[in-house]
Amino acid sequence: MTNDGNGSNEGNGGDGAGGPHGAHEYRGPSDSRTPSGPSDPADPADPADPGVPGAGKGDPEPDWREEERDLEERSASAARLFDIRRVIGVLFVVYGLLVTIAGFFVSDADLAKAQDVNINLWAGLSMLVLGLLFLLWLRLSPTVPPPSRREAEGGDPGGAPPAGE
Amino acid sequence: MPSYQLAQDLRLPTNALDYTILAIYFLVVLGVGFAARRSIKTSLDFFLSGRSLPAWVTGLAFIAANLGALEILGMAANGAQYGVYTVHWYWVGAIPAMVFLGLVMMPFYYGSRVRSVPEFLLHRFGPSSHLLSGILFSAASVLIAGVNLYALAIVLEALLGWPQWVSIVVSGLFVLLYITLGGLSSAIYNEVVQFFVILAGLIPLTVLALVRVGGWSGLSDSLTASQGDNFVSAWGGTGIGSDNPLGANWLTIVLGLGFALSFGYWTTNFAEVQRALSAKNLSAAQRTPLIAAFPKIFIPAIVVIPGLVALVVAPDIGPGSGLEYNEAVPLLMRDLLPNGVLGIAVTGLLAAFMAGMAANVSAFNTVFTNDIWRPYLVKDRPDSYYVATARVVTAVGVLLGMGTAFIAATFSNIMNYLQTLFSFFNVPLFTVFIIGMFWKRMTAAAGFWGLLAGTVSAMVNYFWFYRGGLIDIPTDQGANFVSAIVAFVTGTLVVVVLTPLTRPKPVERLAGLVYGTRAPGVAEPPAAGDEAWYRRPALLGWGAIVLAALCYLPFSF
Repeated sequence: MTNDGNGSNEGNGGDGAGGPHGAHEYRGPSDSRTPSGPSDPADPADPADPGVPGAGKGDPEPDWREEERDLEERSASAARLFDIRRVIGVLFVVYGLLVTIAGFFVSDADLAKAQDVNINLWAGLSMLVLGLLFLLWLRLSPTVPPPSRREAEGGDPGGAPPAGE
Repeated sequence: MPSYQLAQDLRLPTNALDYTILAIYFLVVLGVGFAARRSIKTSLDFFLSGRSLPAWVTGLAFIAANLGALEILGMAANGAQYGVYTVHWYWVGAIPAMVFLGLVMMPFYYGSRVRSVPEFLLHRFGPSSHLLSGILFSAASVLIAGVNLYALAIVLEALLGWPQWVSIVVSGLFVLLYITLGGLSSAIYNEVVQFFVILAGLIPLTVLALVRVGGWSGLSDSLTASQGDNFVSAWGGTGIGSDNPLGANWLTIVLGLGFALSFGYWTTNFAEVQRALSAKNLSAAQRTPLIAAFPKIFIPAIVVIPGLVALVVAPDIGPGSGLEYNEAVPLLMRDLLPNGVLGIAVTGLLAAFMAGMAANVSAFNTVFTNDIWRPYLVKDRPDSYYVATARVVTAVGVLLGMGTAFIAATFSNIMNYLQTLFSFFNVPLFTVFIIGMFWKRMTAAAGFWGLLAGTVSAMVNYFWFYRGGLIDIPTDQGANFVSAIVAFVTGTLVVVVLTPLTRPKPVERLAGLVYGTRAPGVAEPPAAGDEAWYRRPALLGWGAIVLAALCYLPFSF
C-alpha cells in the first residue's frame, strides 16, 4: 500500500499514464548515461532544429539523474518512515471520545449558542468514526515492506528494519 | 496594528477541554517530527522524503500545504468582501491548473528527477535563469511564510490575548523545530494530519453558520437584500464595462485569474510541486495534484460560506469598522462554537498555520540549499554536509519569516498581498516553463530575459500604473489579475523575440526536458495496482474538471 518506491525503476515498460516518457528502455541501475550521450538511439535528433553544435562535449552539468538514482537506493525513508494512518487514527479516536463526552454533558447555554444543535455530540461521533476507519484501513491493508533493491541484492546490513514502525 | 483593540472583543471563551485538545495536537506534531527523524539518512530523505510516499499522502499534503491559515482566513475575507465571486479562485482558477500540472507537466518534473522547480530551469536553460528563479523563489517563500505567521498571530491574539509579536516568535520557533528534525517527511505527515483536523473544525462551524442565518436560502436572501443580486452569483455583473464587487470582468477573470495567475501558482510554486516530487513513482506523482483537486472543489463550501455569513451577522465588517475581513472566521467561532468543537476549530486554525508555514519553509530550505548554496557557493561536499546546511537554512528562513510577518500586518486583506506576490513571482516563471517545455528551439537567454522581463513588468503594472493611478482598476484583486496578464504577455513577447536571435541548447541535452524527447532511463513500469481505472490520471483529471464546471451551475443562473 505505501512504500515500494525504490524498487520501481527496474525493468521495462511504459508508465501507462500518457506522459511523453511513455515506453522507454531502461536496463537497470547500470544504465546511467549522461544526458548528452552522443549515441542515444532512443532520442531522435530533430533535423529541423538548427544550430546544434555536435554532441555536447564538455557538458558542465553533472549527471544529476545518476546521482539521484544512487540516493534513491540509499534512501531510508521507505524502510524507516512510519505509517501516518496510525497517527491519524489514534488522534481522531481520542478527539472523538473527548468531544463526544462533552456532547453528553451539554449545557443549555452551549445548546443555545450552537443554534440548538448538539454539535459536540455530532462532531465527536463523526471524528470517532473517522479515526476508527483509519485504523481499520491500516488493519486491512498494512504497510508493505518495500521490495527494495538492497534486499534483492542481499546487501546493506544497516537497512530494512521490519515494516511499519 | 488596527486590529489590536478589537481583538479584545474577539477573545474566544476557551476552557480546559479546548486547551487539552490543543495540547494533544502539539504533542502529535512534535512526535511526528521526532519519529520522522530516524528516516533521514541522505539529503534526498531530507528534501524529498526519499521519493517514497504514496499518492494519497502526497495528495492530501498538496492540498493542505495550500490550505494554510491564510487560505482559510483570506478566502473567508474574500467571501465577505467580494461575495460568491470567490469561487472563481477554486473552480476556474485552481482546478484546471492542478489538472494541467498532473497530466501535462508532472512527467517532465518527476521524470527528469529534479529536486526543485528552479533545478528544472537549470537543466532546460542554464545557470542564469536557475539562479534568478532560485533567488526569486527564496524571497517569495520567506515572505509567504511571514504571511502565515501573521495569520497565526491574529488567531492567537484572539484566542489567548497574546500580543502579536509573542505569537510570531513562539510559533516560528515551533515550526523550526519539527522541520529541522524530520525534514520534508515531517512537514508532509503533519500536513496530512492537519488536513483532517481543519475539516473537523470548519465543517461544524459551517453547519452552525448556515443554521444561524436560516440555511442557504436565508443567507442568499439576506445578502441579495443588502448587497444586491450579483453578490450571490458567480458571473452576474462581470460583463466588460459593468460594475461588480470584484472589480474584474469575465475576461480578466478567465485570463488573469484562471489562466495566468492560477497556472503560475499551481504549476510552478515549489511549495506545492515539492509534495508531488516526493511521491514514490511517476504515477503517484501525477495523481498527487489530481487527488488534491477533489477536496479543493468543495473547500469553498467551508471557507466562503463562513465569510458570507459573517457579513450577515456583522454587516459593517471591513476596513474602518474595527472588524477586519480577515477576522470573519474567528468571529463566527466565538459566536457559535461551544467548548469542545471550539477547541478542535482553534487547533485546526493553528494546524493550518503551521502547515502553510512549514510548506514554505521546507520548500525554501530545499531551493536555497540545492539551487543556490550547493551549485554556486559551496560545491562538492559530501551528502551529509548539505543535510546539515539545510537544517541551518531552515532556521535562517524561519527567522526571516518572522521579520516579514510584520510587513504582512499592514495589509487589510492578506489574500490581496499574496496574490500580488504570486503575480510577480509565479506568472513569469510559468510563462518561461510552458514555452520551454513545448518549444525546443527556445534558448537559455530567452528564458532568462523572459523571466526577468515578466517579473519586472508585473511590478511596474502594479506599483506604477495601478498604485500610481495611471490606469483605473476598481480593486486590488482586479489589478492583480491585470498584472498577471501583463507578466504573461511581456514574458512571452521577450521569449519569442529573443529566441531567434540567440543560440539554442543542443537538442541532446534537452532529453526528457522538452515535449517529444525522452530522458535516458526514466521510464518506469507501473507499480502493482496502478492500472486500476480509478488510478488513471486522465480519468481523475477530467473528472475533476467536469465536477468543477457542474459546481458553477447553481451560481450562474
